[in-house]
Amino acid sequence: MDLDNFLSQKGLVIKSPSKKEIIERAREISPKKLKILYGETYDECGEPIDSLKHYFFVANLAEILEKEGIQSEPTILVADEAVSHNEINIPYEEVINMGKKRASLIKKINDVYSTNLKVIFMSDFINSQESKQKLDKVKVLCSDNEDIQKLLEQTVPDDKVEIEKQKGFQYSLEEIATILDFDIKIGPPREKVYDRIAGAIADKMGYKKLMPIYLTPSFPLGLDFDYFFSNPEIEEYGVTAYKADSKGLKDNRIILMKTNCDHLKKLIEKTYIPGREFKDLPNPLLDLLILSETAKQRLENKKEQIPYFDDFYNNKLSDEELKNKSFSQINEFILSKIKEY
Amino acid sequence: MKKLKEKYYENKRDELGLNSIERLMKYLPASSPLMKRNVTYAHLDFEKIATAIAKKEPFAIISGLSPTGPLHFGHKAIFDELLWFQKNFGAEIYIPITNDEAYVVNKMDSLKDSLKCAYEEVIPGIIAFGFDPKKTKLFVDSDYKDIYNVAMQVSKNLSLRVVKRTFGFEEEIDNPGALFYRGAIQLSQIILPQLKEFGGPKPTLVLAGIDQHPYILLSRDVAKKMGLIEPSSIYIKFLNSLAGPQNKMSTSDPNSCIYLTDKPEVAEKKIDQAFTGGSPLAEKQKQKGGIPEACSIFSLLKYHFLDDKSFQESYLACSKGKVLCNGCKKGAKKMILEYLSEYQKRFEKAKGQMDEFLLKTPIKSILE
Repeated sequence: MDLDNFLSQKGLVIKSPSKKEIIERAREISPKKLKILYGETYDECGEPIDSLKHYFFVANLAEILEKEGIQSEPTILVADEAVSHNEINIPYEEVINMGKKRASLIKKINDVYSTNLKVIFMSDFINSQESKQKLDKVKVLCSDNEDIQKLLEQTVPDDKVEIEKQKGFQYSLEEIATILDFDIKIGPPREKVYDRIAGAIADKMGYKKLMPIYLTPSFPLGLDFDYFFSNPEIEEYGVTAYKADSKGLKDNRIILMKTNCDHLKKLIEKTYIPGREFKDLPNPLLDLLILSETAKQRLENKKEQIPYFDDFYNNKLSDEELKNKSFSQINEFILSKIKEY
Repeated sequence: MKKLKEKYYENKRDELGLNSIERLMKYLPASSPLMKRNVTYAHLDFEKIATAIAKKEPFAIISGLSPTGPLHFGHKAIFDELLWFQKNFGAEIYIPITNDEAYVVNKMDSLKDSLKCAYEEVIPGIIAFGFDPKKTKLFVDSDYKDIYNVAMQVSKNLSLRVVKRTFGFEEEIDNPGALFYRGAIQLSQIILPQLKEFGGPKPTLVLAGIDQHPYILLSRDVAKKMGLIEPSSIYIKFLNSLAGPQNKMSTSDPNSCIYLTDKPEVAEKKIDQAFTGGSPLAEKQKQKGGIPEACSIFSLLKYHFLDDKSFQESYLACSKGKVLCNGCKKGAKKMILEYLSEYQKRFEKAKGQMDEFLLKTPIKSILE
């Protein structure tokens, strides 16, 4: 599969820079490597399967770029320091240990799926002199700009705006300072606000503008149409892929090493499947099937177009087939391969 | 004219903070013909009903009717929609026949007249649509007297100030009966399905015209205070008068509507005289096309007789001048008269079925 097809994979990529833009960036920064980032925070409830969508994408992107003659550094950032700022009730050491557990998963992914992902921890650099200076500069640039202040408010839930304002949007600014360093950032669409702010100040900070790639949101399982109808925010943005208990929905997620076969089956059986005429509605099982297919291809050392999006919307994949296939493939190509880490 | 009318409904929907039906239609397992035509076009808090549908749990729909004359095609739209919810999702339907309202606001000269109309015209007229008697409850307010006990409890949860503020300057309440009706009885009709006698609190949906929105807001307030579930609502556009799109079909104006009990020759004459969107000059219409949006006959066809494919075809044929008004009226007459013939047979049969539908359950819980 070439870079063009990869960046327009249906049912996976929502938005990305063009092949031309990426090649141009590679040329501009040569001989430095393109820096690709995917960052995660986490919670106490474990590692959701949805993180793998992003891990696989980062790995596949790096390999496809290499085939185009472009060298890159595919990096997964474990934002442990950000978690410690948010989860003030969890002791710092415990937060760091949870981060290490996340890193162990990524190492296991590397072993099983040959993904060659590099892991960095936010705690390793955020408190350095260099990072502090960078953050200070980001703060000054953001506070001087009314538009950016409005954007910062959008980076937090409505009910947390006042709290975060008092903290000076520390969490958001740390994220922005962190991502400035990178050329390509992979993430869910919800991150567009951070990326816009980073894009607005990149020039003034002496960085090149970030090129974000947004993958399809991740959706909870085992819920019917009424849930998505009643929660337009979930319809648009999904749940946070890397946090198992995002929106209090841990019982509706596949959590690695925790979700058993029975529970998976029940979840899949009860999951809403949209009509074929509405491609913009959440399709949790299609998302799962595409993820499992990506895992399968990693194991088989293949990179081929995944046909399931078109199959589903062109009525070549029935609801029953979708349920059965997603169940069997998730088991065979992911859950049975990641039994401990 | 179409733009003006559509703008009115859209503006009203937005002004009142209601939701468009579009997103709902994407999620509902099925959409009614009236939803697809954007005749049913707005909702408030349908989420609760969606959950009841998803979980196959009970929910109720309420839509009241004032017995001031025979039913007409404008009423048919409402009953078609109620029936659709019942057939597709098992909704329990409650239809209060508000004869007390008809009397106190001077639409009927006496309670006796209002009762006559209720039992001779309206109730058989509703039954003739084909509702399931096990899931449909009709009641005439002044005969189902327990509703007034409910209204008394409801009135304790309202202040006169709030009632007056809700109706603003759009409505003058000039007698105590009208105030009691508007401020309490109408609200009690909405919360009735949630009383213990009918299964207790459950999601309820009010199907109405947008002018009823203030009542729905009040009913939500009252329901909350009474520990019940706040009713949801869904809104339907009025069918154009036969005299033109500036007005709606109205029971009190025989020239504006075709009653479902009209004799064929009466209905035919009304169709012949109905306002259309065409030109008086056939040649001009062939060149420029007609205006189906302004046409009362097209409106009737859109609401009641055309499937999706024929709706599109008819619309194009009219607007491109491929069919003239006489030709269209001829086709419309055939469909309308056929419908009326079948309906009127069911109407006669319905007179013997009223007992199956009339609500008789005494309401004791309100006295506890």
